[in-house]
Amino acid sequence: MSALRAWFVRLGGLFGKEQQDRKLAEELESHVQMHIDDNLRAGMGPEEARRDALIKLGGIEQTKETYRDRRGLPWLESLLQDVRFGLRMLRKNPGFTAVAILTLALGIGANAAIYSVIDGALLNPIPFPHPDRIVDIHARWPQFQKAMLSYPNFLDIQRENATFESIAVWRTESFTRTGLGDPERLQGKMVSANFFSLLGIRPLLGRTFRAEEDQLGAAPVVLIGEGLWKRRFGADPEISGKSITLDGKDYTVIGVVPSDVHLLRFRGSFFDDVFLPVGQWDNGLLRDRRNSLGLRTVGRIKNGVTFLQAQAEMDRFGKSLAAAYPGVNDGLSVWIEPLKDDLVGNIRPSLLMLWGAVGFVLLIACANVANLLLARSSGRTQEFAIRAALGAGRARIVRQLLVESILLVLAGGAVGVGLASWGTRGLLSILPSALPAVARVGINWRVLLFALGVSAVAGILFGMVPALRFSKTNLQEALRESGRGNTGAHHRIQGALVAAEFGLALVLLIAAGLLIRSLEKVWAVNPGFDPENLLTFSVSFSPGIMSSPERTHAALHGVVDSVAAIPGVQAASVDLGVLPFEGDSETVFWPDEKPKPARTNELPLTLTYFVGADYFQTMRIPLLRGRAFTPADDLTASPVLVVDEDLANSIFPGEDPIGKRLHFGTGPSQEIVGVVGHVRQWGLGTDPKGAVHYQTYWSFKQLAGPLLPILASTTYVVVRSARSPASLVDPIRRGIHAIDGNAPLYDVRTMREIMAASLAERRFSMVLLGVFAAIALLLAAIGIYGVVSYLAAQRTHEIGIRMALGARPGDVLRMVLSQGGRMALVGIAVGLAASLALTRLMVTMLFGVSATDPVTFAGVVVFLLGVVLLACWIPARRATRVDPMVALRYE
Amino acid sequence: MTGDKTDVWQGTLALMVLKTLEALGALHGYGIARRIEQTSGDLLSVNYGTLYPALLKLEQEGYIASEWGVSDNNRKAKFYKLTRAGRKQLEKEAREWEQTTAILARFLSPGEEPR
Repeated sequence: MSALRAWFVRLGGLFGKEQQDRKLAEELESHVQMHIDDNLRAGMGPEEARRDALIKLGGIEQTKETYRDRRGLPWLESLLQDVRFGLRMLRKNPGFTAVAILTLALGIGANAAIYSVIDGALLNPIPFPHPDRIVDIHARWPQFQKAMLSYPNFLDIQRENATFESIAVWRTESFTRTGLGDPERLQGKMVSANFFSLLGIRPLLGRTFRAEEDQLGAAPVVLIGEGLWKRRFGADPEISGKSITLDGKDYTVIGVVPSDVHLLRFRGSFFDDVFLPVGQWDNGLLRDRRNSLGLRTVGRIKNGVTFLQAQAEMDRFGKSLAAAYPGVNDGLSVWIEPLKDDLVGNIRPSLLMLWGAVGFVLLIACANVANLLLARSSGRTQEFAIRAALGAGRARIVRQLLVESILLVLAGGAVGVGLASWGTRGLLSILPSALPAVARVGINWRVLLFALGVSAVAGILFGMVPALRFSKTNLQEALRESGRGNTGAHHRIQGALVAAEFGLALVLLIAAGLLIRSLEKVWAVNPGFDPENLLTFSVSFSPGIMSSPERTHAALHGVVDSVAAIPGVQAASVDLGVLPFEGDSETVFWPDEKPKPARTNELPLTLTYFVGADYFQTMRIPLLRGRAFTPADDLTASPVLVVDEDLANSIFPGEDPIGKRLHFGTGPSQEIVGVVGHVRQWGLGTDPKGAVHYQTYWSFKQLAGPLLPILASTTYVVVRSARSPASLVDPIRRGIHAIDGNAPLYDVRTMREIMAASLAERRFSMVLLGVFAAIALLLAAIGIYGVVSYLAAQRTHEIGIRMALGARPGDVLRMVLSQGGRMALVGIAVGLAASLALTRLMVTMLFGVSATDPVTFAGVVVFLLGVVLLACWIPARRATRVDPMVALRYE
Repeated sequence: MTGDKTDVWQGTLALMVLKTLEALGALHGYGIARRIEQTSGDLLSVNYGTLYPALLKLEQEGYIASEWGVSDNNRKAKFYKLTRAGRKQLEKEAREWEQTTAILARFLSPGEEPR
């Protein structure tokens, strides 16, 4: 306690020194006077009395000195002195300071920016309490690794499980809101009543659903999102109890859900505007154990129950559900996955790679600053030698150097964090769709802490170099050489640093080059249709129109006809179910020739596109055999089918598929009348694992029954035009409103835009790595330029002598260039070896190029050599202009 | 200066200062120095200069407090006095010191050497 108190008092002792000194002087003065008085009384003479008093005191100045040391904290005082001196030194060399701080800011800023993304997207992606206990619950089928549970299966597990606090389901759905202004398409979720409490989300206003509202026939209620509440209702605090119309049905608003909690949004999806209880959904398929209807199941594991225990219980459920419902649940198993893994799965390798990349950038920045400090400290050798000669300990001088480094790195870190906050905001605005949507990326205290840690590491890394080097110099030599104390060891350190920079920069450039080549190759992949001048949009008809198949068919025809009539449109077609790169509608199938198998779950799956007669012509999907659909393929004709070449070749190898028939669960078999090219449904790269590969096309006019309104609720329309599709949007909108005034038109995009969006993740990695590689290259170029200039300047004398002895400018140029070239070549050789080892780690991110692509490797090396040549050329040219007379006289 | 005077060790000086202040009440630095010298029967030589950092340390630790005042012969001087914490500290240190000397005394007395 008292020691702590003393420490604080001493800390206070750093201030108001002059007054304290005066007080001490007075106290000592009175001491001496009293002593003299006593001595006089004892009979001494005045002179002797005074002398004796001073001797007994032991010297006034000495006493003052020890007193001062005790008063303040001497080490802190000298540290402050170092800081003041360091600041003065940095101010005296503004050029050096600016370059060093900027270099460090780039390195630290890049690290902080990437870390803030990693923090938001990988480490803390779930903004809900106890996120580690929230898991996704998936079904697994023999042919499907990651499938969804059907509603009845979910209800069974929810009712009977013992390891979960609660289990909830949700599915995304869009709705058309009418009344109160223009009709609009809203994104929403159907959720079970416990969804919000499971995630720990409290409503801003009102309440969430009650269990009895999550039932068929309950009064229609809705929760609205904060966004809709503010946008449409002016943040009305009295919103509860008011009603809104969705898909023609009135719902009572019971509360508002905050939108700052990004509710399990997924890449590219929008904020949710409305939430409905899933149990009220009167779709018969929901309660059919065979359909999952896009239901996602999440559970919160009980406190104290392990992940493995929960998984073991799910294993038991899989078996018992499979046994209880043969023919439906055959082969079912249930598995759980941390929600976090599910959210961040795809982006993880890219982010980790980028993290590695910014680490390299930081190392290069450190090497650069170390070189700057080295160059400067050799100019200061004499200063240090004089300080040492005057009694400064080596430790004290090393500390002085470290203090200067720390000042630099702190300034660099501060500027870097500023750059990072600006940079992340920019990043997110350019490439938001590449990140999991739940990510909340920004500068927070964790990022600041990380930046501080990185700065500390950086400061030690580059600060140690000159400090260590100094501790090895021979002071006498340094004094004698009067400032030109450059040893071979010094050059070797600088050369090694430059080589390291080039090695690191080479690795980054090659990695960026490989990604650029991959994106180029992916972009060049033929999607199976012609994406140029192809517009797509979605339309949702009002419930009245979808009340009968006839009216629905008529409306779909009407849309196609009105669009096709617009000048400039070459062809148009509706497409229900699946659009290339978007949506997912699939079914099992088996050829008619074979008996219906007992276990439907082991059958192959196919994507189902329900299209109009002009679809293939509009998309320019090549017809390989047979015929396309005609307007005659309607409900009165026998059901026909067009399949893709992959299905034809795999199911009917070596046979003519035309005339063969396929079965799809229920209904009569359908005859294959045509074979078309395969379309890359899942993106331009390789298909994801477990994705459905086969494709079947159905004539939408042969579609009736309960599936029709579900499919037609999101009707895709594809439009082929001769001119830029943007000008078509207004006439299209007018045409559709003439057919259905309450039908919103949305998701208007060109096919090229959809394709570009599908590559967002690739582009994210590529752009960032490209930027980092460019920074790395710039820093390395500055680094070699600086060192070569410095070394050439150091050799001015030597060059002068050489030229006086007859060396030609070309010889000098060669000499300086080769000095820089040697450093760079060593770095490039090491970098090539490192690249060969490291690029193998990014194989999964590459497409169409090997990790050791010789074109990329060679191209980057040549490019880098060009940069080296350029960076060394300038100082080399300068060296050739050395006037031998001036150079010699200068010394 | 007589050669057989012992220098005061650091640490014990603090204890002597505290004890002196307990015995005499508020006192200035010079007075404390003289008192210590006298009490030790002139066996100890206090280098008066070392007294002031020791006083400062005790003050920083909160064991003594200081105040400017006027000495017997009308000189302005800084007077030190014991605080409550200082009194406690004095008891504690005195106890410890007695223990230490008692233990050492046992070791050093020849008759009672432990076997």
